[in-house]
Amino acid sequence: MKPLLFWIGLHVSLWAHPHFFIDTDVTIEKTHILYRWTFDALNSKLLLFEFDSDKNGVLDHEEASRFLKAHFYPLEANRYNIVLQSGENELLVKPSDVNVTVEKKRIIVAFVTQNALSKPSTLCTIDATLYIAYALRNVQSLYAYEVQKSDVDFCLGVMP
Amino acid sequence: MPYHEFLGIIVAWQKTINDSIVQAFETLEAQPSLDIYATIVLSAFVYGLVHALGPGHGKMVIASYFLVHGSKMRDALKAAFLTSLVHTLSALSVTLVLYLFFEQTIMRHFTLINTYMYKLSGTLIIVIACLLWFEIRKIHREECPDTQPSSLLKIAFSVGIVPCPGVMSIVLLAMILGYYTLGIASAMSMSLGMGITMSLAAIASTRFKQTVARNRYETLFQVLSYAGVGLLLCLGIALVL
Repeated sequence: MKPLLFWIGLHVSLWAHPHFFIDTDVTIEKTHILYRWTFDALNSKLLLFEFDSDKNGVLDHEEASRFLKAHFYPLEANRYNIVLQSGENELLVKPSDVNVTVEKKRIIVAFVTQNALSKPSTLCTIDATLYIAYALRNVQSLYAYEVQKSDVDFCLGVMP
Repeated sequence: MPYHEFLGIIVAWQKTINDSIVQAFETLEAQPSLDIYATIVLSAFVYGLVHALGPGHGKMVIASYFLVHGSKMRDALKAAFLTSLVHTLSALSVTLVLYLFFEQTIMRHFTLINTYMYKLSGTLIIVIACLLWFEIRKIHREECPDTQPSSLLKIAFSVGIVPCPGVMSIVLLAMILGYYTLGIASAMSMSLGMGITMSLAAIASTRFKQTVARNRYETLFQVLSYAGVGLLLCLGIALVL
């Protein structure tokens, strides 16, 4: 197993480096977790060029659907880059109420996962391919928590 | 410093430079001036320096290559700057084609093209590793075989063919806003920055091999050559998989 993990790690870290930078806000409630991903200014501009067909600076329903289909839902293959471990079990991360907005020329994707944390849990956001860097900007939690973060990924230890 | 921490610092710098380039373009749109032009081109140069410090961009391939083949600093510099130039020209061409013909799906194609280019690059690197292996077998009694210009071109092409997404983003931004010349100038400036960073890897490798050659550790010299080929092979296979 170890050689395999080493190979996978080597395989990715040899050339992978982030080109998307996402500032993340996390809100942990009793029954769910709310995520807010704010894309960096450069990529927001480039993505708006592609998806904001009428060039009005916002993404209407049809434009937002196209955007999510191209840049959010494909992340399902990697569990939306979220690892949520509660006690011994890894919880299923299934986004709902997915919403795309544009604020101050930056694209924001907000979504909810229906995960209730009843045991000490670890919530991490990381892109295994390192193409996207997730920086933790703000946490609001009903429970006590500890943060371990870098400019590429982060983990929260939550103690319900 | 742990690798993860180092990567974090580079990512933070890159993000800051990214943001400042976008801001500069916005200022340029509001109030065009030569100063802002210069700021963007200079920022692109720094971006190139920092961007190539992270993983990728062929530093390891070039370093492995110089463990095998030749040990002249001039060749190391040539290979690094040639690779950086091909890396940038590839990005410029791809961005131009995407901008002109695939406007509605441009960002989706960015990732797709990179994936296939990595595989092509990996295949070429494997071919080069095999050719080098035959070469070492043929000339293993000679000291420090000279690097042929054609072989420098081969390595630069194999590694550089993967378009740099960093260059693509900046050039695309410039094109979207209608600053075509500035986009190309920024790309060349980035290329220069990346070339300097990539040169460090190549120079370190040649210096190391020079030390070994000077001290006449012949066995180690040969082991290093084979290790370089092995590394190249592993890198090529990793890219193809």
